[in-house]
Amino acid sequence: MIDIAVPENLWDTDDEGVLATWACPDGTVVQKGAPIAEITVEKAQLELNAPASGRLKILVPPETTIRKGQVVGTIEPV
Amino acid sequence: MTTASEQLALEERLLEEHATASRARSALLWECEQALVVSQLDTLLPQFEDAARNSAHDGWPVAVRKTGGSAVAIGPGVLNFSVIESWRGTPPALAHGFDLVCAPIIRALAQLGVTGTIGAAPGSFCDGRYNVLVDRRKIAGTAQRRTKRGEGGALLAHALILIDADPGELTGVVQSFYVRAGGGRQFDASVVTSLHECRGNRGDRDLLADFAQSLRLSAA
Repeated sequence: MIDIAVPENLWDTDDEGVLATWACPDGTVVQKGAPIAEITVEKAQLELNAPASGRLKILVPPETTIRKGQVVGTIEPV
Repeated sequence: MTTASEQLALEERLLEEHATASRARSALLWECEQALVVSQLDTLLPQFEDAARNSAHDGWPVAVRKTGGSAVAIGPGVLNFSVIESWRGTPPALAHGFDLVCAPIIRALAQLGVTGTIGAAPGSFCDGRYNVLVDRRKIAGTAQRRTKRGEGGALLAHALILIDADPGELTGVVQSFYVRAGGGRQFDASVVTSLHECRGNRGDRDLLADFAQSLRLSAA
């Protein structure tokens, strides 16, 4: 199982973000690099990409405040 | 005149093209039929569907954008300015993206004798740190979107500039949406201005075309 952590370099400030939407529902099989969620920070909306291929498990619902490095989901091998 | 949805789709297409292959910077200037453009977070509001239906009934159909921020009302008299830029390796600073649109707007305003600065305008619709202000009132708002593909990506920076649209009307449209949608936001139209107001409401002919031309030169 691989954690989906918000990359430290996704944005360059110390601001918190908000997980706006998941691009696919819990349990979807995703490909490495595919955009799986949208995060907003200071009026910028940023894509979160899958760190690996596998089955998505969502740990954080939309509208949740998040920080860089936070684990928001996992990818389970299929 | 095109619709907001058509223009947003064009921006999305260009963003994807710039993300998948490094390209020279692109810029778009556009005006569209009136519309209420909301963010994806706005669509999660408890009464969003009803609010969108009512807004359309009032003549402000809703389009959903993928840049950050919150709802804005646009239409004739509002100039939209978008810049799309590829990047490779480390994503550029957020401030860089906002500067891609704010700096040319400030230079274009200066050519028309108006002094612009960057900052927040508390109480304005879709407020943030990177508005363009004239005398502390918001004349342009900005938002960004970033997409990553492989080792690179692209950013879309967007600004809306009030040329001769009525700040009170636009603020009222956004306020009505949030009242209906359950957003609980309160706005103050007095902290928003337009280029027309900044130039003393003089009878400028073709103010939008003049500013657009200045912006083209400033962005080149």
